[in-house]
Amino acid sequence: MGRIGALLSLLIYLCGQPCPLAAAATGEAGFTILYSNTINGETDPCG
Amino acid sequence: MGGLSKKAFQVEENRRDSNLPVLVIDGGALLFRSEQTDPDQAGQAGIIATALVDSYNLMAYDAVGVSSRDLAGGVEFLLALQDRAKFAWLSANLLDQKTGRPIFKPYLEIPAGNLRVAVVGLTDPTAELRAEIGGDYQLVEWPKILPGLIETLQERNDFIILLTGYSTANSRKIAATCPQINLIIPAFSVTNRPPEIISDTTMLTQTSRKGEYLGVLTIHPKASGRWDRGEKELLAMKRHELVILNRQEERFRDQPESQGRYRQLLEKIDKLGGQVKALEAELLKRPTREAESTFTGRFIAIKPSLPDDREVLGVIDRAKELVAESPGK
Repeated sequence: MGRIGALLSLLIYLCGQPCPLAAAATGEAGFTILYSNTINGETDPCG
Repeated sequence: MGGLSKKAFQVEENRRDSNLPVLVIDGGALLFRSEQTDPDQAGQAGIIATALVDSYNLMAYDAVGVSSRDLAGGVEFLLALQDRAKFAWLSANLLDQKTGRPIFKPYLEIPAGNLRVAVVGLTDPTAELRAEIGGDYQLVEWPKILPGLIETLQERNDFIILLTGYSTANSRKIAATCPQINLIIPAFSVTNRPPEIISDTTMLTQTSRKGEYLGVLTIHPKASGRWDRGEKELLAMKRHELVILNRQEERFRDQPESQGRYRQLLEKIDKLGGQVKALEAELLKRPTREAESTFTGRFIAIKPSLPDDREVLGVIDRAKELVAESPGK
């Protein structure tokens, strides 16, 4: 009963989660932004 | 400036690894250290500014916001650099005094797969800048120009980004007035500011200064424009936790030797049950059940150990030579 209970609660938890692969599988529209700001004409620390 | 070649390597790597369309943008405050250049240093500042534009060309940037600091070399200097740039310098509120038209592009519309993204620029109208630009140009405050422009752009775009020299406090006011703006990247910052949802539909983020980090944000926008704050996931977690606690309660109920622990358990169940009800009520209050936009974000440190992009390194080395040769060093 304990194991069944744990399994049930896990199922309840998983049912509330978005599938991490869903976006890729359904080809969900999206894009990636690479961004920066405040470069300030500076010699940055990597120079 | 030497880190730019490493940043270029990182940008290219992210572009190559992404299975989604990639936009590369900069909030502004790119070219100069302050709003006014020292006349003795103007030549060198100009060399560095030109090298920055050439480097951004090689990194295939899409757009950069025009902040007050980018105009430290004068409007004409930036207009000349705009001709050199393969990316768009954006400012919707720096206008020609005579025609009343923007002198830089006010916005850029970019196709991103099946989506269409608008990027708008807004210059911060500081007193120093107003004095500097003189009578040929005028800088208008955002309330006079932005709401109408955003209204128009929303009709034909799925996502709107604002690049602005205005402060984060002003950005919050902008978000309240123009909820159609989905993302704001202010120009001036000191440290990394992770993506923060500042209104139901607007998020704000920045990287730290001097190009120490590259911000990466992957977005799946939805028609509702509302950002997913993760409340549904939080509710699912809390419900799961409640189920486990209720099972423990059943076990301890008839064990007199565990009464202390049992009481603690009941208190926890009571508290958690309250949180679950509050979250359920919050989600029910939502005006619609439309899907919400989701995102993931991270910052990548531009480390000295990263390889160099050879072409950008060449631009930087040449600029260093020119600075060394220039008078007024």
